[in-house]
Amino acid sequence: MDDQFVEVEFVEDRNVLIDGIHNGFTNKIIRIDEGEYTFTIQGEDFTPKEITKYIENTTALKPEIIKFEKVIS
Amino acid sequence: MKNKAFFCTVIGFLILLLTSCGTFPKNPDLAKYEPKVGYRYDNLESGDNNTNSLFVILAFSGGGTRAASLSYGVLQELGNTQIEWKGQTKRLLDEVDIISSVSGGSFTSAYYTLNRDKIFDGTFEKKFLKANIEKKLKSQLFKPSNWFNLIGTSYGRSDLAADYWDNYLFNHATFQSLLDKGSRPFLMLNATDMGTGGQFLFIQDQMDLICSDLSELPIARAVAASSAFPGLLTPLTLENYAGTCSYEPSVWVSRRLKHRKKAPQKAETAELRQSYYLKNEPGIQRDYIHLVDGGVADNIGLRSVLHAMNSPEPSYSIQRMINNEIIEKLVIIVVNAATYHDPKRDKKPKVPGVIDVLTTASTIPLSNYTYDTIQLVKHRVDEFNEAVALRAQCNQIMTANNCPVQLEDNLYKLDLYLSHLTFDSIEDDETRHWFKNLPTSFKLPSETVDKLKDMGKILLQNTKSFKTLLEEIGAE
Repeated sequence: MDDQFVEVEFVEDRNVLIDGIHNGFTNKIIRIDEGEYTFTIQGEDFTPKEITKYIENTTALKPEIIKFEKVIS
Repeated sequence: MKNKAFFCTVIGFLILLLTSCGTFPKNPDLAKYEPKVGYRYDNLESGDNNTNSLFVILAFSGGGTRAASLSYGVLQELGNTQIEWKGQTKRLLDEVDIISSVSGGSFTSAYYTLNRDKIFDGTFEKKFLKANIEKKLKSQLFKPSNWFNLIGTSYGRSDLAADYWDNYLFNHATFQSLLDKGSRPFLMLNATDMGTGGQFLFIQDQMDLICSDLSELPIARAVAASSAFPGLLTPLTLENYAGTCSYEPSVWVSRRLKHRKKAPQKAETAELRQSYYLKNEPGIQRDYIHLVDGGVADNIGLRSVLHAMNSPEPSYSIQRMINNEIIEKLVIIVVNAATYHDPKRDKKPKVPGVIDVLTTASTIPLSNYTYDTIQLVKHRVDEFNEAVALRAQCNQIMTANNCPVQLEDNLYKLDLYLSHLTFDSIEDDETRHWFKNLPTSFKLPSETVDKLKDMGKILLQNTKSFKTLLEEIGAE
């Protein structure tokens, strides 16, 4: 069972929620097993609201990048 | 007329007797599924002397009194080991967060979790480790009050054993008693579900699937299920109340089923999970769950730990705690009391009997599986270190080649210490053979129990990763 690696990119450091549970931080590499997950981050000021993706074929050198943009109101 | 009255009385008595025959004590049902309530990892505080940053997991194997004594010796040694961590001097035992156990090891783990340091006051040794438990259990069979129970088809010898442990060893404690302790270690007693062949953990997350309230269940029943050695003891039954508590299945189940083609093994795991709560689906009719010795699925209690390392899903997910940068040092101590298979058999040309063959058929795959499990955990530990090392090496190469960019230092590092305590690491041939020839039973001579306790301490002290840990955080 090999680890998969994900990096959730955002302009600020925030908690990452995977399937609704706090699991890692933005801009840090997160270890996870292969599978489909819904990613979001703490707060309201970002877009899209969530990203669902099947995570596979990643390495520690090439993590899957999940990107959220800050919304300035 | 008198004869007729006598006949009627006898028939009436027999009917009364048969209807009062034993049925298994029902596991309590759960009125409503509440994911934040019950015996779950999240509902226990770490404890006064227990930090999250130093996370200690113990796994106790099966093996009757031999396993119980060896793991007891390890607990004693952890209690004697002083460490300095985050400015506090304390015992390493105080830092234990999770104990996962199987069969014989479950007696020590459950007694310790329930009674904490009182396990060392001599009572446990006297009442369990050094007692002839087999004789005590057999004597229960000769009690007329138990005969009526045993006539029943759903009440077996494991139910009798569970009642006995409940009275004799655990003083009617339930999982609520463990919750009332308020702090870790979190106890994970492993049994094997005969219907799925997988582990059945006595934690509320598992009991949710069958809408049963673990908090009201006697600990003794869980220990009895964990140690229901096939053939010697009967399976233990739980009623499946699925569909009565508004259980909400985890999203990962539907997702795993959706991606069956990509990951068929994961889909199968999801199906096994579903088999508890989709009991009215065609092909699935699980009104009762029959449990046998946890050793059938995993004789060292490590699979549930591995699951916690691999998955973000369980409440005790270690993977999640690492991602959240909670754990700095992860210590896993596996106490494995495995021995040789019966060497006496090969001294004679006699064809082995049916019981011998069945026992061999059920125990040899366990030993092989145990080896695989240890290898998987080792692989997992290596994988953690390799990912960090890989990024560091890459950066070194880039620096050496005057590369203007560097990989960010954003993969969390932690220190991992895996200690596998096994008789195989005893160097002296005679001593090793002596320990590896000990029987699996619930009666061992007092001196043998003492030797096992001492060996538990020695094995722990001599394990390389444990020595490394103490070099780093050991106190004078």
